[in-house]
Amino acid sequence: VRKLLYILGAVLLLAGAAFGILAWRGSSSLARYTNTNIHMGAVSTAAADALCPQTGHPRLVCLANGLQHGMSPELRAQLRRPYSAADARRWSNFPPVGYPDRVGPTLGDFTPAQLGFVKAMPATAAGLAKNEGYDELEQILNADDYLKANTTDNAGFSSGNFHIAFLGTPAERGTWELYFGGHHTAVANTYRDGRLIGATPSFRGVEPFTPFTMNGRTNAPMAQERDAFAAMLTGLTPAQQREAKLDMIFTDVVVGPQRDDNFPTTREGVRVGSLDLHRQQLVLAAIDRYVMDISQPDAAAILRRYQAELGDTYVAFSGAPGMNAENDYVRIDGPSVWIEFSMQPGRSIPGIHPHSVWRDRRSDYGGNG
Amino acid sequence: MAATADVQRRALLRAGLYVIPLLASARVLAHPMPDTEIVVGRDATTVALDIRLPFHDLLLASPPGLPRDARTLLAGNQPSLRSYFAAHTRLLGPADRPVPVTIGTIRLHQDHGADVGAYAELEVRAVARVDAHVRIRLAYDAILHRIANHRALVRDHRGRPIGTIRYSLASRRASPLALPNGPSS
Repeated sequence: VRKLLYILGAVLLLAGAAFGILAWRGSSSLARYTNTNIHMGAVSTAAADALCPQTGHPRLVCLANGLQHGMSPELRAQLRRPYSAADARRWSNFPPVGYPDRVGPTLGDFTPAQLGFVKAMPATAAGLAKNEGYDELEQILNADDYLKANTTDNAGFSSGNFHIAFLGTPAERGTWELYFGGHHTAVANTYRDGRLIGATPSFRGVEPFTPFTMNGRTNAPMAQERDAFAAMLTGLTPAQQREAKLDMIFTDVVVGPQRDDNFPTTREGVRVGSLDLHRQQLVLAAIDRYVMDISQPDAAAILRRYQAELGDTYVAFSGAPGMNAENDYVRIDGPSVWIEFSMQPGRSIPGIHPHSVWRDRRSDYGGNG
Repeated sequence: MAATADVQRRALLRAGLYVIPLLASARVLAHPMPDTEIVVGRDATTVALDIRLPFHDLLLASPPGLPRDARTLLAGNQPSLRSYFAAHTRLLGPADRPVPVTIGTIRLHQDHGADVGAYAELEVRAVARVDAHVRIRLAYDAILHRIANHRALVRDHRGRPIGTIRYSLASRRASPLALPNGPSS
């Protein structure tokens, strides 16, 4: 009996220890998150601007070097990793609890001085158009601060929990990717020898979707994407809408994170080449809402390519064309461009919220995916 | 005393061998909502599929008119739900010969995930008699037949991935997935 008690005690002791290890394992992936509100709008880039007055890729390289100057070896090791397609694929729309495997340190890991350089990098890569590019990103970060302040969900919402990483070395020569991502966000700009060779995958989503006030401003970062799609779809004739209508339901995007191989081989919907010029312009305007998330002159070059392929591009949708109800879904599918917009129910607060992904069949991950 | 200590050490070792893998597997079995998860177990003569699927997506994929409330649906519609899952959960033996599948009781599981909010899942057990050495494929398309982005993540009972069943926009169907032979280890 005594021996049995020993064994039973040992089992319980070990079970307790194992549970402790398990709990630690479960929380350790989230322990890296500071859950802080960075308030990116208030972060000054004056020092970064003074050090790096260039534009485009030379400015990105300068900012990357300026950011790393005086940085601890530990933080630098997290920030700068060898380029690999495997690491490039480590992005998600989920908050940290749903996807804890993103690469790079978080904004909460940087000093205020370093944050100025951090902020300047996506601003340089994504451009400064109102409600697009960097401005859109900042508002999505504000949405996470809003969720942190207004919900009890412990999903890791916070602007301080967004990641930045360099895959490869930012330099005039060689391949590297600027990754910036977090909940509802993925920026993956791939450069080779100083040229942008891939602006996708590019994911944006936001909750709340309706305008909200956070960090001293009104935020509605994806309203114009929805409006552009609604204008495009409601502008179709009833016959064109029937042709564009998909018979399946879409509760989310199809070629989302970790679904890089999910492109259909057959395009569905109405062929843009069959539409009149006005309707083609509405399609191009919707595409432009995504291309504008890249700074000039790269955005103009990408849009020209998509415009040249517009005749063989297809528009398809599911649900209603207004794109303002749960499970409304729209897709633009061309020889290169792939854009999906999916309206979903609110996850943390009542209402609806969109997920959207811009991909390029030819240059996702700079063609390295 | 030395003998007693040795017994204790061995007991600890044995306990560790059993307990740690069990607990370690608990984390990897966390359900990746909002997809369906299918856990496959095989013994010498039986294959069991433990299916967990989001109730909300099932409602979207089902014919209109079903109760929107999960408890009401389950209380009054077990036979029709079992028919639905029987139609969308098929096992294919050699030469794609169908293997009869029995759908058991369907249960409701309600929970809250920090990343997905409150959610309700249905838990379905499907069982078939098939020898462990027989090659079988799982043809499953519940929900997937209507919701194109939905996936069924298939794992063994230790949480090790077997594969993913997804609807192909190209072929407009979900391809069957080969299941491992032999009893689950």
